[in-house]
Amino acid sequence: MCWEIEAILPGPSRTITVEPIERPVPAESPDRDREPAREPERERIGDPSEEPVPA
Amino acid sequence: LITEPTRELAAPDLVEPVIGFREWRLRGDRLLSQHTDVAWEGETMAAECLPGRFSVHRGPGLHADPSPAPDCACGLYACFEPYRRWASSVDWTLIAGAAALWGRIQVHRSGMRAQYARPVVLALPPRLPPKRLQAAKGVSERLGLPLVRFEHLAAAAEEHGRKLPRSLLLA
Repeated sequence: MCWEIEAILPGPSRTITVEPIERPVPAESPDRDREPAREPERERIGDPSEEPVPA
Repeated sequence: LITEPTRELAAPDLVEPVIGFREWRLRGDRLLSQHTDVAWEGETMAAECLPGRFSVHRGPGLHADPSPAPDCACGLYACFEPYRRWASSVDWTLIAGAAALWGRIQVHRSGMRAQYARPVVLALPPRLPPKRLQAAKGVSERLGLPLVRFEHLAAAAEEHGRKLPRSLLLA
C-alpha cells in the first residue's frame, strides 16, 4: 500500500529547516558505545537497479 | 520577500527534531522502507533522490538541491499523526512507529518529507500472531528501539522530539 506517496503527495508544500542542537540518539541503544559510527544509510525514491548519477 | 536560496542562510525554524509517524516493512529482524526495501538500521538515514520508476519527479533529471526538493517526491516520509487504520493494523508484514526528522523538511498537507531521519519507537498493533510478535521484539531489541502499544506511540515518540507546531503547517 503506497500510503506515503498517496497521502502526502501531490500538493503544495513549504520548506522548513530543522537543526537540532543535539542530534537525536536512541535512549537505550545497547551498542552505541561499542560500535563505530556508520555511514548514513540512503533511502532512494527510484529504481534501486539504477546507478546513481554523479552530481 | 524571502526566496529559497536566502532561506538556507536564515535561522532554522526549529532546533529540536520533529516527530513523524510512519510504517516500515518488517522482514526478519530488519526494518525496510516500503517502496525501496532500504534497511533502516537505527542510524541516521539521509534522503537521496534517484528518479526512477517510483519517482514522480517532475523535472528534467536529478536536481541540484539537496533531497527533499520541493518539486520532487524524494525524501524520508512521515505523517504528522499515527493512524489506527494504517495497513499495519491488518498487514502483519508492516510495523508502525515514529522517527525523529531534521534537516530540510518539505511540509505537505498531511505529512512531511525529510532530509534526515532516525527511527525512535516501534508500535505493536492490537492483535499480532506470536511469530510476528517475536519478529517485532527481535527488531526492537537489535536496534535498541522501544516497542510500545499503539495507543502509547505518540507519547513515547515525543520523548525524542516534538510534533510539528501548527504555525509551520500549511494554511
